[in-house]
Amino acid sequence: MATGGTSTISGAAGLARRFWRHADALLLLLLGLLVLLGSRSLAFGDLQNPGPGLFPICIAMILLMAAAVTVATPLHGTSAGAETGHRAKETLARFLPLVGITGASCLFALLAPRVGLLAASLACVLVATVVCGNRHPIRVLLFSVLLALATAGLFIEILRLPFPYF
Amino acid sequence: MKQGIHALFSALLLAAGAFFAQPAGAASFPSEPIKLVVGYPPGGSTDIAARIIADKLEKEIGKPVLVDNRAGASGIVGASTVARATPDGHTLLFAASPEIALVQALGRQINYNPRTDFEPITIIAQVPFMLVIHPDVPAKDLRAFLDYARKNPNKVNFASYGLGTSNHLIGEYFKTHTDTRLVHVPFKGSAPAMTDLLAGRVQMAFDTVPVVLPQVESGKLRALGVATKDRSPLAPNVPTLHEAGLPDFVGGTWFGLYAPAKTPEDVLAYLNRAFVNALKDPDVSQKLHGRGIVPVGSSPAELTAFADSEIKRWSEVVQRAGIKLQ
Amino acid sequence: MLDNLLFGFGVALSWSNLAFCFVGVTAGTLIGVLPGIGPLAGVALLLPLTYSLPPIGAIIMLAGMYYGAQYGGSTTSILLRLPGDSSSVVTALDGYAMAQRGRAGAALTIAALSSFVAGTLSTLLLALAAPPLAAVALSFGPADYFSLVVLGLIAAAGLGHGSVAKSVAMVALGLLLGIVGIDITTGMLRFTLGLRELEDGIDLVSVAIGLFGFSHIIFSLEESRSEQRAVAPIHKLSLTRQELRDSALPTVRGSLLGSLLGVLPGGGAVLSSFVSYALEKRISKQPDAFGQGAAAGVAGPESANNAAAQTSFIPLLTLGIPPNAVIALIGGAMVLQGITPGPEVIDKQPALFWGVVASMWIGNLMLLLLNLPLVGLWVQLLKIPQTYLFPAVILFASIGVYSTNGRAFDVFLAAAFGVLGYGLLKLRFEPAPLMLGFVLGPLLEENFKRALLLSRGDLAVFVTEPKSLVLLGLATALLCVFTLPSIARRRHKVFAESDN
Repeated sequence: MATGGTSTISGAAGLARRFWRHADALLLLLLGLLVLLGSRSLAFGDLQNPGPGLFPICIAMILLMAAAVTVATPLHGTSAGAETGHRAKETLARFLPLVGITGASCLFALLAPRVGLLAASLACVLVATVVCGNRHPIRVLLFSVLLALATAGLFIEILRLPFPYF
Repeated sequence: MKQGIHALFSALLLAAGAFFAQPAGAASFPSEPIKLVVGYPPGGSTDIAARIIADKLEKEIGKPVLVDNRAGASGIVGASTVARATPDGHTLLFAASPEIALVQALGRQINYNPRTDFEPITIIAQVPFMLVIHPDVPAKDLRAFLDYARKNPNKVNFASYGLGTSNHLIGEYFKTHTDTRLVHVPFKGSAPAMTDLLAGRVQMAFDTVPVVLPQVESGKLRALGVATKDRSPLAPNVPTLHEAGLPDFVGGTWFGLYAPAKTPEDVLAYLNRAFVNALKDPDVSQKLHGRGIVPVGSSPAELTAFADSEIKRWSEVVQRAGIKLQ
Repeated sequence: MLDNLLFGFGVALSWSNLAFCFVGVTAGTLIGVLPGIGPLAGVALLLPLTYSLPPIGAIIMLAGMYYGAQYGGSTTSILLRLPGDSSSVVTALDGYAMAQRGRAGAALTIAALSSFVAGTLSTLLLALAAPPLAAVALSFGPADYFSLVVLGLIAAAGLGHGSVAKSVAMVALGLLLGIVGIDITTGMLRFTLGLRELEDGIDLVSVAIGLFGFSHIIFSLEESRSEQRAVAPIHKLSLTRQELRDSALPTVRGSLLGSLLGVLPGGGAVLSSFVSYALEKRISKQPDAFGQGAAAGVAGPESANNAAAQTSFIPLLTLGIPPNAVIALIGGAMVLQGITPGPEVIDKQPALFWGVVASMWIGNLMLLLLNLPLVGLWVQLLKIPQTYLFPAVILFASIGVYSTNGRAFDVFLAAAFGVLGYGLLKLRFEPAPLMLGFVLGPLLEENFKRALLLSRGDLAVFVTEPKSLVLLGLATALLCVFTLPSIARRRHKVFAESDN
């Protein structure tokens, strides 16, 4: 988390690192440009009759300005992209929670309309439990089955949600 | 070769399925709960009308009749759901004017065809509009108001629930009919429109009777007339717009019942009978009237004819007013 | 006025009405605790049950469900950082931080107590000043409302610890997400990426769950790769005297703020919770404690959102105009019962009006008595290891989001927001302001356009309308207050470094 370390890192890597340090500003820049792109078919209108493009374009302006300010004023020391210097293997493991959790809920959404609440819940909890660090297959299975049953019961019987079990 | 076997197999399965899944005749209909799909959120007038009727119908036919709210895009989501539903008579569309007539008048992009994707069953009800103005407007009746509006072009604001909604279109119709220049101010729904109307920021609006009646009775708004042939039983002192000086000026929104296309004839006939009878029921009638909803109960042909006349009428208004949607 | 209240209590204290109240608030709390299902879904669920009930009882029950859900929503905000409703987003900031430091019990207690005090104060206000408050709501024209929202958004931008510019950017992003869908003035589709499901806009629940829930879970998992407890061991359940003192005045301020803002149409409750938080942070003698678990950061917003939930009944019961979707539903229930909400309700249906007002206080009392003992129970929940708790939360959240509209798309959207939230957290953005921008974006635009439409294109309307002028002035002042210190600090740094 050093502020002054850039001078000691060699050429290209150092440049890349400086670039990624401003990842937050870059994101804002990207967003601002995307908004402008999305509003190209929207009329700006005039004062008497403001059009659908007025608001989005203002938003894009704000995003771009914020990007500029963010680049010009790095926060006390710790910069946004500072943690990007990890090795590949670690990176893969680091993305497991992201993919896993996202995957678990998407799995639920994919399965629920097709195979009903129970199976979808089971699948979701199975994936999520494994991602959350549980490695005992029996415990994982048992927990998933129980949770799926209990939850389905709660939502369908008690809350009367219009959901088929299967 | 493989593809050939596949095709044969699928054909056999299909045939088997068709053999077993025979359409239910009227004798066994309804065999499960009936779903009335309403394209609006619960609590709105379409939803309330549906619930009142569903309640009665349930008692008559002995099977549950449920209201399924599928709000979105002015009723379009509800309509498109039913357009794709199984045509066995258990899923019906409790439609309001926007998703059937106005979409066609406005030329909106929709993924169903209101003419061919549905079978008409009956006109459920008419919901007439009342014309109200804010008391600060120096006009005590319709004639005075028209006078004032003509002398002050682009001064009077009229409220609507949004571009292309029924009270927007009737407002535009009013403008051309009376040759007045009014400024249209769209709102997102009834509540914000009513707020600005009560505060006097907009001066005029068309809205359904029960929504404006409490305000009229407490003097916060002034009623100029109702857009119906006969006076509304809820407001016997308010003249019809015809009486007040606008001959034959009627308009409002309406509800109609539809089934998906290809629903069997006998099922449709059964539903028509059931709903028409429910609408005749004095209890239902009273509850609906109290809500400013005038129950009708017609034949399917009358629904089609009426819907067509609506489409024609509002298409003209849309064109004249130059309303364009994306 | 007093006899009216007494009369109201007479109505509300009947056995059946008490029972209805109890059912309403209990169901509301349960619904509020479940992530993804908010008061709207809860009221919609209870609605069919009310047809066969007497009118007053039905309304008491539905009202109980509404403000009960606020209590439940705070619980998940504090324990799991999962906001039950958009107005509990702010509670999650310091509430969860308190839980992290082992003060979960205290946080829950503060939330319950301050909500109760807020409920009492706002009920009094309802009884005393319902018509004048309604008149205030009416007097807010589009220009005034626009300026109020601007003030609220600027306040939200100052919420986090980080750069104001980044928080403003978050607000802007929220505004953008809020306007996705059909533009009401022209009917044009904006930013829907060709997806039919986005035509009606992005669902609030997807954003709340994804941005705050999923992203937080992913982030936590990344930090701790072992089978850890979700939260630090609980110290004491009870409040320290200091915490109590810290919460007192914020509660009062929050109640007043919430009561006033709740009557305004649209985002009254959300706005009030954000503004309350920002206010408390500004006034506090230890602004840096905010975000790390300041009692005032829970007490203020909690009382604000509960007060707002109660006063949002005022426009319905006095004018017949519902300020938000849940109240509109309850209004619909009234209509189904044969009562038309409007200016005459107070006079023609005094039993209903005063009975409901009185039942609100009773409901709040019931909630307090219900929730306080439950604090111990909830806190036990935190002892469940992450590896079991998180999957359960994910499942509940997924079901909750799915059941809002019955479509899988919303869950995918929530997952996408989870990824976005994770990215934002990594890049040190504060997601809370995004939420306010999202909720208020459409209102901001609508009122801006309408103000211009009504003034026939005259921009000056924003400064000629008195309320608007004052609010914009406050917003500008607030913006200066946020940015100037950082400029001063940077100068300090430059001077300090140049001295070396």
